[in-house]
This record gives sequence, structure tokens and C-alpha cells, in this order.
Amino acid sequence: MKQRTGRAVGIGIVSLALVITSACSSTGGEAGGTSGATGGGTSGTPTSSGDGSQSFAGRSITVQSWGGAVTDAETAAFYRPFEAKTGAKVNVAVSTSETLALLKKQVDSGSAGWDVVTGMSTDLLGTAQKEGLIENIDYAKVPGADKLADGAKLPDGLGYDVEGIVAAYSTKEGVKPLKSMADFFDTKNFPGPRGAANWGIATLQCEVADLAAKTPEKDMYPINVDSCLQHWKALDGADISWYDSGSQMAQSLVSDDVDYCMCYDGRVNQAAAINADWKYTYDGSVGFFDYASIVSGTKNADIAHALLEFMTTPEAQAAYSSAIKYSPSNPAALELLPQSLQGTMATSPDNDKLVYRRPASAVEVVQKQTDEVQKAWDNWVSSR
Amino acid sequence: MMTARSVGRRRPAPPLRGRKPDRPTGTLRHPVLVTLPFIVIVSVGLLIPLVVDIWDSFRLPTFSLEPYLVTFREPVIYQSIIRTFVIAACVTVITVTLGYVLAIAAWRASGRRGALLLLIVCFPLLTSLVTRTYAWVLILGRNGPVNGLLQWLGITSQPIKFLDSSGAVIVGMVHVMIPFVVLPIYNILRKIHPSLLQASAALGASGRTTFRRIILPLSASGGIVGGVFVFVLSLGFYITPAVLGGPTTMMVANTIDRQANFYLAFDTASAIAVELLVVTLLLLGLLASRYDLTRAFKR
Amino acid sequence: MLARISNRLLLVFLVAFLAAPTIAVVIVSFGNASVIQLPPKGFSLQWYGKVLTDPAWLAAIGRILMVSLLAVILAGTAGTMLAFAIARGGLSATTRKVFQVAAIFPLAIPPVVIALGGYTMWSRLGITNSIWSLVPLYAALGCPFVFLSALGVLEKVGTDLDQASASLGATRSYTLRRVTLPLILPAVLTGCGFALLTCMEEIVIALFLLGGHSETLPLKIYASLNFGVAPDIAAVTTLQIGLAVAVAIAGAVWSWLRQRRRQLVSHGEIDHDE
Repeated sequence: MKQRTGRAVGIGIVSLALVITSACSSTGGEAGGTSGATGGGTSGTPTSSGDGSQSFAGRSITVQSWGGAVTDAETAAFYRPFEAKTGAKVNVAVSTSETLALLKKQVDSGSAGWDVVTGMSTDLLGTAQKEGLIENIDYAKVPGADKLADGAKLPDGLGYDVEGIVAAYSTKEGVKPLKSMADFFDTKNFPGPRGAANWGIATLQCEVADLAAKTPEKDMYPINVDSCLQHWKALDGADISWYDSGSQMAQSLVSDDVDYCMCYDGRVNQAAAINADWKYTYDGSVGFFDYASIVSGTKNADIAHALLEFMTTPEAQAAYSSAIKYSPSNPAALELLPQSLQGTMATSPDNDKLVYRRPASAVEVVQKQTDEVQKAWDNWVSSR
Repeated sequence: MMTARSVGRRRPAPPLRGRKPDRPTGTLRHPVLVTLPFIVIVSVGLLIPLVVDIWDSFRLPTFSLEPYLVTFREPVIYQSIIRTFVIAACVTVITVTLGYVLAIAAWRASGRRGALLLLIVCFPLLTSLVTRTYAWVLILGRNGPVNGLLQWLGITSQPIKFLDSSGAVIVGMVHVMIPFVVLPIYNILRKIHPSLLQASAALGASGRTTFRRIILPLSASGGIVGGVFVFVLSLGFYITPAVLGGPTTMMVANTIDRQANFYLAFDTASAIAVELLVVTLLLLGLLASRYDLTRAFKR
Repeated sequence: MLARISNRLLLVFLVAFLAAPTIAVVIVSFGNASVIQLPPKGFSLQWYGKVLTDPAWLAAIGRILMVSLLAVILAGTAGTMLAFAIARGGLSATTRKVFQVAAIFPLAIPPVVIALGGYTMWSRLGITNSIWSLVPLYAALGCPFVFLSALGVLEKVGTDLDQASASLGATRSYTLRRVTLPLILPAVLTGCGFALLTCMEEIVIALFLLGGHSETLPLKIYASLNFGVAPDIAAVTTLQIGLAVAVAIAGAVWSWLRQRRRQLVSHGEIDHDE
């Protein structure tokens, strides 16, 4: 029976497929378009107009982004306006946890791919630098970096926003609100399912745990993996949902899968727009920059630098923050935000006092520890 | 009998000195040429990737066994290997048991209903794996019908988290694997002569005894073929543990992904892949040497 | 008596277990809210509208179709030719056995192993993120299906008709074109159909080779699962299920028609040539 049925399966599928293909032939042309477009464009010299801004008409650049709402916000606030201003076409490539691997493959094989990567943490920067995947930034071309908050200007990365890992909670019936991050680790007084990220930010999560346990700063670095996991073990037996991506995190909050969350503030804001039960506190939170870096061997370094410069401007950052609700790294951008948003940002004066930042002196030390901490973290999470 | 033809055939045939016998009609002149497209495609699409895996796993050109040693040293890796075998074993046992029930039901049922049952069993094979896994996300989710039913029946007051656990992964995998077990068993069952069953009943055996002493032994080969096949397939599963499970249920394929794409440890990832490949080929080879696999999955 | 009831119950439970997921997906796709509801509170076709007009989904469908069709054409050619070589090649028994094992070899390899090796292979050649890099791997994956089908029918059909055609004076190429190929075409197409289905739902290899999350339809579904289980996935997968059902029904109807035709022919009611 199946053999005779199968014959028609074949013919029916092939003919239907041909019909659909011809209908989609216009969209099929996008195959090379968004993801994976080569970074090289025509090699025209940039012409400068009177006010000193450059024109890259006819050229294109590829920027990597982490997908979902974050990419939408970046595109609307940074990439499209940049296109309008300079004439350069900005292609966006989406990737999440395999970003480093893809980057390494491209750089190692010398094939042009991405020109700029975004959403890099200091740990990712460390690994990327070690593997030779990113170049140092020529800050002569990015003067706007000097106006950014402390720590945003790294030799190999430009911090274009500030994210905070905050203690978020649902205000629905029966859920006790968290007053600080320490409460997140207290399962006795705050029972209920909770969620936390598991996408490679183990060093940050150790810092969060250390802070919650009131570890003095001098003891926090280098990160003591054992005591970090010891703090997290307070959650043994608790119902934890581990998120692979920011979008998954936001979705989980929207569907009320958890009562509490050690979340990124922008993602909580994103979820709260749909599910107004969610609130968060900056007490005990850790703030960190998202860095944009230039890929090794890019042929469009000039466009890349111009894009980075554009990303430091208050207007662009304000547009970005309004869309994704992460904090701008340029203090001047705060004033441009709508009133309602100003108090919710990690860099707003009130919150800034509560948000902890890894001291500059500790950045390199922690970068060297990234692999060790991440491996220990993975071992712990997978054997819970 | 002497016919005209046999009379004419007195002369001996000319000797075949160095001459190939004429080809039967329809035979190819250059069979090896004809296999070339296949050889090219399989080389590029399969052989070279396998060679690359092996190459990377030994860190060639400088030889090293380190990647393999790492797979036994790193808790994340060897725990996921053990977990994979355990899950595969659970899935196999459950699937073979349930598959037997279904196969026997289809075999015993009269014509149409048997065919219908088989259709229901095999239909999911036409849908994609991710569809079937996604469906389980819907069903087992916190706000899904299973939790809804439990709460409505008053058995629980809070939703139970079924997802992100080995249990959910096993359920999802069993659901996918059942057709692979039902078909071989069913095909073998059909070969059992009905007179054997009649004789057994006539001699006074109960249904259970007939099953135990006649049906089971005769159909065991189908169960074994299906079971080993399911076990081997389960070892390499990626989607179901990724979607229905979490970091605590990472199976070997997920670990390979993590090592390669997250840690950039391509040599370790290749080592795990080669280990998986060797086990798969060993088991399938053993199976194929004793059973004819192409017959088992007809229909 | 009790045993029979419990057997029946078990069977009912099993059938429900097998059918429930598919049914659940279909039900959810008709929901009218923006989140998954099972059972849904209202009926709406909004998700079908969204999916069928969303350029991202259509692009994903288009891309996987392009790649799969090309791969299946390659697999169909190679697999059929290989089947000819085995069935008609006059090769020794050992050579035949070796090729037969080689032909179904792709089915035995866990996809993740091919995915990892393929990824590394292409990147060493400098090709990353190209949708076409999938084609050789998908073609290799599809060969066994076509080969098994073609071999089956070639062995069943034998060389009798070839001999008849030759004895009537036809050239080899004529025989191939007008006699052999039409005879085996249905089986070959069946094999191609299975190959196409396999390619169109393949995720692991695509995930490793393409990395980005939305290139092909199955990848987009998989990525959406992590973004959040919105009902648009349910709509897409229901469409896939619907397509499979439609094709299965078409196949059943066609074979029923052929059956009827054969009956009518053997009863002499219609001429063989009609």
C-alpha cells in the first residue's frame, strides 16, 4: 500500500514544489541577501561632503547581530539611519551561541563574511582577541567614544549600550516581590519557579552570586569558581529554567513560565510591554557593556569605524534605548529619552548607584579565566 | 527427443579463447562509469566530511590522542555520553514493548482495521521531526492540556514542569521511534502461519502461553531488528533533547554542537563524533550480518 | 474479560498517544490569540494569513525548496544510475555487495557526524554560510532512497522487455528511453519523493553549515521554538501536515484508479491501449 501511495507522493510533491518555487522565485533571490552576504563591496574611495561626514555610496558592510527584538532595535536605530546618512548598505547577519565559531571559521579561512560583530561581552572579547578574530579600533576615527561612560572604550571593543542583570519578579497573585538579588537566591522565603540565562555569561553570574552573598570586592577577583558555585548551590532543588537566548527569556516571562528571573533589564522591559505583571529592581544588579568590534581582516574598516562612530551619537543611542530598553552608554542620550523611560535605565542617576560594574583592573584577570569558569559552570548546570 | 534443432546442433561450439561471453541484453557496457555520479556525490557529501572528522579528532598532521582523552575526562562530556546510552536504552525498551502491542493488534485485527492502525502508526513519518517535537512542547507545557487535565481532575494544584527533563525527552523520542519498531515486528508476525496458532489453541494453551511460547520466539527477530535500529538512531538524536530537554539532558549530539560551536573545541567535538560513529557502525554491522534489513522495513 | 478491556484501553491510549501531537498542532494553529492556547479560546485563520504573506517565512520555504530540489535531482540521477550498475552491470557478487552497502551507508551515519565534518570541510575551502553548500550533503543523504526504490523495480522488471525491444530492432538508447525508463519512473519518483521529504525537514546539517537561524524552513521553525512558541509555527507545521495528507490521499486515489483500470481491462470492458 505504501509503495503505490508513495509514488504519487513523489509526483505530487515535485509538482507542488515546482509551483511554489516559481511563486517564490522573487523571494528566493534573497538567499544570499540577509545572512552571510560577503562584506566586500566596490572599492570606491569615500567622498566627503561639506560637513565632514563621509559617503560610502555603492559599498556595503555586514554586521552580525543576536536576533529578535535586539536586531530589530539595532536596525531601526543604527543601521538604517547610517545607510541613509552615508549611502553604505548594511547587511545584517543573525547568529547567537555559535557566533564565535562562525567568526573563527570566517577569519581562519580568509573568506569575507562579517565586518562588525555586536553584543560582545568582555569575556567574548577576550576569547576573540586570543584567537585573533578582532582588530583593535582606531579611535582617531571614533572620536565620539570619549563621551561615553567609563569602561565603554576598550582597545578592541566599543561599548554601545549598558545592560543590567537584574532581579525580576512577577506581581501576579501569590508571588512575593523580590527586594534585591539576594532574595533571588533565597528559596525558603521566595519559593517558586525561576529562570536564569545559560548562554555563556558564567563570569557575570558568578559576580552576581558573589554580590548577593555580600562578598567584599577585594575577594571577588580573580573569580573563585568554587565559592561561586557554592553560592549557586543555594538554589539546589529549585525549579530553574535555563534560557538559551534573550528572546527565549522574554518569551518565558510573557507566558508566566516562571515567577522570578535573573534577567537582562531590556528583556524584562520587552516582556513587560506584553505582560504588565513583570517588574524588577536594580538592587544587587550587575551592569555591563555590550561591545561592538571590528572583525580581523575586514576590507571595510573605514565603513566599520564610521558605523561605530555613529553608534556613539546621543540621537542614535536614544533611538536604540527607546526601542530595546537597554541603557545608552552615552550619558547625553539619557536626556533625549522620553520621560517615562528615563528612570528605568541602568545608567539613570538613581539606578547607577545600585548597579555594580566590574572594575577596569579586573577585566583582564577575568578574561583569562573565562574558559575555566564557563566549564565549571557547565559541569554544574548539567549535573543538577 | 530428436528435433530439428537438436540435429543441427552436432557441431561443437567454438572455444572461448580469451573471449568474453556475450553480454545478456540490457547489460551495461561500462558499469563502473555509471557508478561515477554516485561515487562523486557520496565522496563530497559524506566521505570527505567523515575523513575530516577523523582527521580533526586525532589533531593530524601532528598526531595526538588528547581529544579522545578529554572526552573521558571532562564531566560534561562523559556524563552526556552515559546519559545518552541510558536514554537510548529506556527509549528502546519502552518502544519495543509498545511496538509489540501495536504490531500484534494490527496483525490480529481484521483487514481494514489493521490497515488503519498501521496507517495511524506510520503517518507521523510523513511529518517532520521538528513538528512532532514541537507538538510535545505544546502538550507538556506548563499551560498545556496535560497540566490542564491534572489540575481539572484535582490531582495537582500547580502546573508541573514536564519539559526540560529526561522524561519529556524520552516521551518525545518514543513517539518518534514507534513506527520503526512496529514495521519489522509486523512483517515478521505476518510470516507466522495461522495454523500454528490454531494448533496451540487446540492443544489447550491460553492466550498468554501462546504468546510466550510461540508468537514471541517466532517474532523475536523483528523485535531485535527494530530494537537495535531504534537504539542506534536514539544515540544520535539532536532535536528532541534540544527542544524538549535542557542543559541537564544534553545528549551526545548536543554536546558535539556545544564543544564545536560554543567552546570552539573542534578537535574534541570531532573525537566525540568519531566515537559515536564507531559505536553506530559496530551495532548496525552486527545487526546487518545476522538479519536482512531491507526486508524488515517493507511497506 | 478484564484482560480484554485493559488491552483495549492500552490500545486506545497508544493510538491517542500517537495521534495527539499532530492533532494538537492542528488545533493550536487555529487559535485567535497571540500566544499558544491549548485548547484555544477562539477560532481564527490569522496565523495562516501571517505565515503565507510573511516574506521571512516565504523566503525560508523558497530557499529550502531550491536546495532540496537540486539535491534530489542529483540524488535521483546518481541513485538510479547506481541501481542500473548493480542490477544490469554484470559485476561480480562481491563488487555488488560492496556497492549496495555503500549505497545505504548514508542512512547509517548520525547526521551530527556529517554536519560537523561538512562544516569543517567547507570552511577549509573558504565557504561559509552559503545555502548551496548544503546541496552535496543533501544529495548524498537522498541517494539511498532513490537507489533502493530503483533497484527494487529494476530487479522486479528484469531484462525481458529489454530483450523484446532489442529483438524488435530497437537501439539500446531507444530501449532505455522508451521502455526501461518509463517502467521504472514511478518507483524512481517515489524514492525521489522520500529524498525530498528528508531534505526538506533536515535541521542538524543545516544548523552546522548555516549557523544563522532562519535560512531554511525547518531551521526557522527550530529557531522560532526558542524565540517563543507562537502559533505561527503551528500554522506552518499544519500546512506541512496538510500537504502530506493531501499527497497521501492523492496517491491512494490514484492507486485506486489504477486498480479499477486494471480490473476493467482484465474484464475486457476497456481496451488496453486506452
